[in-house]
Amino acid sequence: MYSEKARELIRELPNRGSLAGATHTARAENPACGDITHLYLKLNQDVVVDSRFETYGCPAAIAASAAVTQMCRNLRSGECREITAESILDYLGGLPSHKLHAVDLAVDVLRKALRSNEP
Amino acid sequence: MRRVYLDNNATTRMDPRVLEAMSPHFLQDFGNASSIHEFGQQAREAVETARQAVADLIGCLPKEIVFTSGGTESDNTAIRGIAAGHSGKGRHLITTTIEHPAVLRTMERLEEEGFQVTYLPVDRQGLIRLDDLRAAVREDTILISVMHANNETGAIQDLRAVGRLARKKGILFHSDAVQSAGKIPVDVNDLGVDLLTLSAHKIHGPKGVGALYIRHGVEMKSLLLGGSHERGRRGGTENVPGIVGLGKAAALARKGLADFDLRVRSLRDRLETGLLERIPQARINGSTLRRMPHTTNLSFRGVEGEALLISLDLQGIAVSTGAACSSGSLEPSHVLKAMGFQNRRVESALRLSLSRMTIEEEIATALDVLPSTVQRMRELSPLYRESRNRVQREGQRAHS
Ligand SMILES: Cc1ncc(COP(=O)(O)O)c(C=O)c1O
Repeated sequence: MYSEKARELIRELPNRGSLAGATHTARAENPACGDITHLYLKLNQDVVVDSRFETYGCPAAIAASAAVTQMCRNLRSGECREITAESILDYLGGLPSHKLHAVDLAVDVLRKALRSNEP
Repeated sequence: MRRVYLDNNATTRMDPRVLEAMSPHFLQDFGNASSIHEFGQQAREAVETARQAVADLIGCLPKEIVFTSGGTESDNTAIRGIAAGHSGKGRHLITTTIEHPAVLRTMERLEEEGFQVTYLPVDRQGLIRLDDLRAAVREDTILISVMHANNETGAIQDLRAVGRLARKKGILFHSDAVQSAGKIPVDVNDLGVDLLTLSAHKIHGPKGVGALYIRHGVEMKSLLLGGSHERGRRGGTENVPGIVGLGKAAALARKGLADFDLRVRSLRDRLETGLLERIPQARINGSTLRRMPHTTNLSFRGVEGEALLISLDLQGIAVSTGAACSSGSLEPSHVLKAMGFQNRRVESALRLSLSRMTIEEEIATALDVLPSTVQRMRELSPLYRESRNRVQREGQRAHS
C-alpha cells in the first residue's frame, strides 16, 4: 500500500518537531480531510540549513511533509520553490491513489513558509 | 520480529482442526452433494453433519440453516428475500445506522427500488433505543434488521427486546450476528429472531462461507436462482469443504464459549486497562457494559488512526481503524459518527480485537509498543500540542 520510502519516513519520522531558530515557518491545513502541518525552516544566506515538521494527519501526509524537510535541505530558496507535488511524489516512490492530495498540503506549507519572511 | 495480530474482527486465523476436517474434501471426497452415487452421498453426509453443528450453535433445526458464501450473502439474501417475498404486505423496513455495509448498501438499493427504510440512530454507547424502534414501526413494516454485536465497537444490542416487539407487531426480524455467533451464546429462540446471519471466517473457519438461519415457515424469495440446492433457497453446488469447515468451526466455537468469555475477556481487559493507564487522553468508544469480550475501540487524542495503524504495522502489530473494507477510503467510520462523536475523535480511533488464539505475549507486546508509538506520534502532532496547551491553560485558570 505504501512505498518502501514512505514506510521508512513514517518509521523514522526524520526532522520531526519544531525548530527554535527557524527563520521561516508556516501552518497549512487541508480543509477536506482535516490534516494539519507545520513547517519550520532555518535559512542562512538564502540556503536551507535546517528544516523540521509537525503533522497531524494520515500516513501519507506525514510522509509527504517529512519528505519536504529532506528535499529542501541545502537548497536555495529559489530552488525550494521548484519543489512540486510531482517531485515529492517521485521522492516518495508514489502514494496510494486516494492519498495523492497529501502532497498538495506539503507543497502548500512549503510555499507559505518560503513567503513567511518576505518584507 | 514477533507479529501481533489484534484484528480478529476483520478475520481470524483458521483453526488447524478446521483445516484438517476440510482437507479430505478437496482431493479424496470431492463429490457433488447432489449426486446419487457414493461420492455424492459422502459429500451430502458431510454437509448435513455441518448443518447440524451450525444448528446446535444457535439453537435451531438443521433444516432452518441455509449455507451461503458468507456474511455478506446471508445479509443480502435475508433482506432482499424478505423484501421481495413480502412486498405485497408492505414496503417499509427498519434497520440501524451502524450496520455493516452488507446491510446498509442492500437497504439503500431497496430504497432505489421503491422501498422505504428507517435507519434507527444510536446513543453514545452505540445502542439503539427501544422507543425509537417502537416509533418507527408502521402498518406496512415487513422487516426489522438489527445487528447483534457491532464489528467496530463490540456493542451488543438488546435483541431480546427487539424480538419481543417484532413478534408482538407481527414483523419479521433479522439479525446480523457475524461478530457474535460463536463468541457469545446466541440462541435464535431466546433472542426471538426469524433470520440470522453468521460467517465462518470470524470464528477460525474458512473465508467465503457462512450461513443464514431462516425460521421454519418464513416465506421468502431466493437471491441466487439455480438448482434446487438448500431446499430451493440458494442455488449453486454446495461448497463442501467450506461448509465442513464452517461446521467444524461452529462445533469448536460452541465448546469454547465459556473459555472465550473468561480468558479472552481477561486479556482484552488487561489490554484496555493497561493502555488507559499508560496513555493519557485515551478514551473508550462505546458501551463497556453491553460489549463483546474480545473488542475494544479507543481514541487517542491528537493522533490520526491510520498513521498510528501504519506505525504499529511497521512494528509488527496489526490493528484496525474501523471496518477493514472501508479503511481504503477517506470516509471516517460511520459507526462512530452515528454515535455522535466529532470527527477528530472518530479519526483517532483504533480497534483492537482479540480471539481465542490471542496469547498473553501479544498483549504484553501491544502494551509495550502502543504507548511509546502514541507518544511519538503526539510529539509530531500540532493538534495534540494545541489541545494540551488548552488543557494546561484551563488547569491554571482553575488554580488561580
Ligand atoms: C457485522 C458484519 N456483518 C457482515 C460481515 C460480512 O461477512 P463476510 O466477510 O463473511 O461476507 C462482516 C465482516 O466484516 C461483519 O463484521
